[in-house]
Amino acid sequence: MSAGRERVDLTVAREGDEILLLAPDVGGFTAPQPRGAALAPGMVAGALHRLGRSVDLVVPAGVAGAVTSDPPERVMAPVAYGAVLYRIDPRGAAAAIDDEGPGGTEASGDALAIVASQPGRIWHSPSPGDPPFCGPGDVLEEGAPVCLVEVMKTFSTLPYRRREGLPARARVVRWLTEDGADVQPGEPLLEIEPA
Amino acid sequence: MFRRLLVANRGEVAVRIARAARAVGVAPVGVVSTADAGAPWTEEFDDVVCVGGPAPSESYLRMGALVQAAVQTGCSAVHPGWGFLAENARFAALCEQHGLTFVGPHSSTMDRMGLKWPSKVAMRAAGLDLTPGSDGLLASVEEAVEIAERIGYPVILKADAGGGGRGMRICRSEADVREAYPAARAEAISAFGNGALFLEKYVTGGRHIEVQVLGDHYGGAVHLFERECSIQRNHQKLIEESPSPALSNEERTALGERAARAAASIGYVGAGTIEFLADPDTMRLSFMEMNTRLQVEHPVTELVTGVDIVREQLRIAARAAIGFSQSGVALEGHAIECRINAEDPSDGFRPTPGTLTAFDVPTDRGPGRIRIDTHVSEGSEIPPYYDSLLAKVIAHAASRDEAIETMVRALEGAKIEGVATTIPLHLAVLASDAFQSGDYDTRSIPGWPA
Amino acid sequence: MAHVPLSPIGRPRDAFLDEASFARQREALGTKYELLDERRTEVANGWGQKYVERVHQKGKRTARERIEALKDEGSPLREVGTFVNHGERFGKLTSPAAGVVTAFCRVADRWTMVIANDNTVASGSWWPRTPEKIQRAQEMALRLRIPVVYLVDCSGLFLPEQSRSFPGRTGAGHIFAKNAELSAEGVPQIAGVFGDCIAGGGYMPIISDRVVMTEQAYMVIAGAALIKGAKSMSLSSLDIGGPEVHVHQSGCADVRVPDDDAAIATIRAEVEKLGSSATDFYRHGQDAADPFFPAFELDGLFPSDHRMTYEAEEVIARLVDRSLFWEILPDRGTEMIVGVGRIAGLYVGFVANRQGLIDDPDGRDGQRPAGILYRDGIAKVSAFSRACNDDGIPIVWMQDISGFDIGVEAERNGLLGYGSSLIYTNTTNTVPMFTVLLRKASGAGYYAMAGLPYEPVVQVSTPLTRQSVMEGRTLAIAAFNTKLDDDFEIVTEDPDERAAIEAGMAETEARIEGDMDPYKAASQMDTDEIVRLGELRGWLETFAEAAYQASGTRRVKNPRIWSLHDLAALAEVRG
Repeated sequence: MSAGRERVDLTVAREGDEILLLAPDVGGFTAPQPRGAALAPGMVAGALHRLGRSVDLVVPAGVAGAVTSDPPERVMAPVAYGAVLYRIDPRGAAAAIDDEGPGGTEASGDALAIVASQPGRIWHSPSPGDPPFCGPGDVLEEGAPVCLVEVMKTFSTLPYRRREGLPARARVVRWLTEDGADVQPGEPLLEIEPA
Repeated sequence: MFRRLLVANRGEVAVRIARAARAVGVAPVGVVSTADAGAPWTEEFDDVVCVGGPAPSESYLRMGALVQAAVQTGCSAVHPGWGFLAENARFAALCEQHGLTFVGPHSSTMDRMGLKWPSKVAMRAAGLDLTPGSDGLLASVEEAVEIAERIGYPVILKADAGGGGRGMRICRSEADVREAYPAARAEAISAFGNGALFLEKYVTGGRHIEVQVLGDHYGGAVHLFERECSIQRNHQKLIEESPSPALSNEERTALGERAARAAASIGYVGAGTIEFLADPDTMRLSFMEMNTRLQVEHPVTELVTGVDIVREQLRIAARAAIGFSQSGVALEGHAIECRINAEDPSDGFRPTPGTLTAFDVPTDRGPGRIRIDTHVSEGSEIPPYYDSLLAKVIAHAASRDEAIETMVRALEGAKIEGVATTIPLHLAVLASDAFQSGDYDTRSIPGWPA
Repeated sequence: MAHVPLSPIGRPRDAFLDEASFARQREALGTKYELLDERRTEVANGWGQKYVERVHQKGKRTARERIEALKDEGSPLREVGTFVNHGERFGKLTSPAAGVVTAFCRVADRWTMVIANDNTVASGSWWPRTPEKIQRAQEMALRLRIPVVYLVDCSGLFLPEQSRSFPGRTGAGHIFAKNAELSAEGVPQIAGVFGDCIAGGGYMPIISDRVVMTEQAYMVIAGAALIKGAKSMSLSSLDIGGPEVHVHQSGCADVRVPDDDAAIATIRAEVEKLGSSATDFYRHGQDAADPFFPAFELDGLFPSDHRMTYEAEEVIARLVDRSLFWEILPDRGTEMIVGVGRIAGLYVGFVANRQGLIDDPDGRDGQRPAGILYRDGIAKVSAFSRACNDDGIPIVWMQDISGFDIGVEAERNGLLGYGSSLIYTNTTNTVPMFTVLLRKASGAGYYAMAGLPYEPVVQVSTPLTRQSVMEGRTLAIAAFNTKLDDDFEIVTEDPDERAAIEAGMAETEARIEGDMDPYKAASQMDTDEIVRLGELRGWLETFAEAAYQASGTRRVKNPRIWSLHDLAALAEVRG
């Protein structure tokens, strides 16, 4: 389900002490971060233009540091899948920034949680009596349904999205909200761990 | 002619197309997956764009990424090769939508030939015989039974929509038909929203004979005679030859002319292949399907006719008329192709990816000529993600016997190491009486235990 | 970019909807389809077999038989106004289809609007709403510039209800005004006269460019029953106004033919003489092609509960050719999807409500429900609608909308102003627009998205459609507001009063739910037709082909100079 501009994580590779951020697709690379910029997880670091549509390139979890490479000279520079877009020095100014980045709220100790992004009522299953969308031990991937959110008498499926610094594949640890509970933005819904 | 051409494929066919493009002054641009990046065959291209990960669904099947690669490298046309997106009308339409000429027939022709019943109707209207069966879609189970009784069992019920075997039922008796009809209908409605069925005789065995045709934008159509492709394993062709040992010269000419007329009547543009099944008892040739692309086995046709089919594809796509007339096409000699796959025939044809430590096939042992179409050489890595075709060895000689002899000498002299190949199978077939006499069909592989 | 950069849209169904849910939703809708089919059959049967036989005994065909003979074999018939007057009684009588069949009908490879008096319902007489239904069909033809075929067999007004069908602005006489308007705008009209054409029925054919009469047809200002002395002179209406009089003496008709079949053949021959369809020209080198993801799957994509969401992209994917679509301004106003796809090879603009949750541009990392109009979405839709109008791209509006955003922020953002701008745009657009009410068509959202009051060429509903200002529950809350607290809970502690309020609210809610029945809307002409979701693609094909059929009557820019490219170029991210 598209919501806002599409966002895709940059691919990570390592070369010695350097971190490389690679193009996750073919396209025209635009709006790059300049040399020296501090990158942190969740930041948008440019866009990729493909067939008349742009996707935001997002710095993935666990990556922070200063850009040591120059942006391409051309605007909309054509890049291939896997092309090196940034070289990063992890000891750069940005290293101090919290690796978790914004969003991925801690539930208890080091645990990760999916949090509510709007006020609403949370339902664990598609309709009363149905089995819940997910439960402890289940693995969630991008787009997998987590729960229903009831807002203004409308029910929407909340998909799992890794954009908030959460892992690509997450294992459900436990529910943190009751079925039918009212929640506020930022409230943790589901405790997860990387799968 | 185009300035740059994107070859939306990999391996052997990508190399074949790149060379043909160069020969007509077109710069080829390649695409690769990360698994193929840096492979020796990619040196054939002026420019190579990585389009994604190793699995075909992450790279060679990603139509949006392929079109973007073509756009950002300044290509004006796209050749799909075979397999992958070669018969995907949606991809063809997407290319056209972005100003790229798709080297192949119009997307609507691909649609029509991709659907079973419309293609049969079109081909029957064009004068080709169909497998005996219903005269259109079935109205009722009674009609199905009546037709089955008339043409004789076994018969096969097929859904008009969709494919992949869904909605298909083989019936050996009236009771079978009565049971299968509602089930096939229900399955088709559930899967495709359309429960229309037709019925035809279920033919097992028989010979697979196909005719190569070319059509241009101006209504021109020619045929390049036939290929015999009855040596198959699990519907995979292993050995092909041209001309077919099963046809007389009169039959050959008549079949070719009918196929060319059929192509013209549907306004076919580009290279295509009309496949026929010869009934094992009557040798009656029924239309099976039309492949709207270049075929793997096209080189046998090229060797006996002297026509470069890929070059013609490019010329036609650039809106040139076919460069020769039917009367200018003559059959010269006989050609046989063996597909050398990285599979172990002694171990259930298990694929054998790995590194080629040696690759040499002699081309000078006579009596005829040997052509080798391949993308590999000593040291090549054979990735596990794609089909196992290593090379095609094609022998061309004055007669069929000489062509067989030429092939045997080349394969016996071949030195391919590092991965197991299907060469032992080819040698066994070539040595068999059935193959040497030309009397074989799709039921079994002559010279090879079933 | 002067190309129209369509991209693949949609996913295979099993990638976003499991088999069981799909089957369950398809089955639930199937039950509604059974009712739809049942009611269609009921309407098509007119007053029943007895009346069909009566028509046949006269050596004539029924209205529906005439249409069947008129249309190209195997082509679909797209009936509009099927359910007008459905469920309504006039004394003891019903008037199926309001006594007239109106339909988009393909004749000699051209779309026409056929208007056929139903001679199995009170001899084709005109009931209350019959004039309006005929005028609506005429209006559709006028807007699309497609030929109109009248199959006239009408004994005049149904007199017991004359006060409801004679004097008003849309009274029967306005049909002839529409005849004149169509003629003045150069829209071809062909009339076949098959039987009684008394009074109004007599006027309806005359303005047509060709009038064909069968030997059983007569056109009269008044029939024999009202002519003094007719009985004693044994004059029949046929003597007064049959083909002998009108073809040869008065010149009010052109051709006389022996019977219904000959009349239909003559009409077909006349349509064939008209300019052929320009649709293939406007396909710009492509052919019609089916959606890659099959349209029939729409029957199982919608949750039975209207409060549950689905993916609007997947709906579009199952409507456009090869499931290729160009979404324009995808990054702004994401509650709305606007873009271009091909339908039957022809470019069509789409405006649809995204469903589910979307990013809230006013709150970092916040989200809010779609299916509602916010400022950016309204602005985007308005700019898109205007650009399509500039470019001559017909627009399909697909509504599933709860209304405008409300509250302090919405008012400060000036939603009244942005909404009015959109209304201005849609009202003054001249490009053909077609509105589909997928599910909810609520409040000002229904207006803003080219609902019927903004005169789309056609508006269709589905069995899931709910047209209303507000949902029943919301209205009950509004009606009992003084009795409720801030959480909309009943304040009083008195059990009797509490029960009375609960009952009152339940009654309000139930009545509103009943009023939202799409059949009621169709009966009142608040929507033009009820269609299956799986048939929607076919309807859009008809609409697109009809919209591009006539050449030289409206602006159709070639795609390389569309204003849409300007919008897209300015929205591109650069840097």
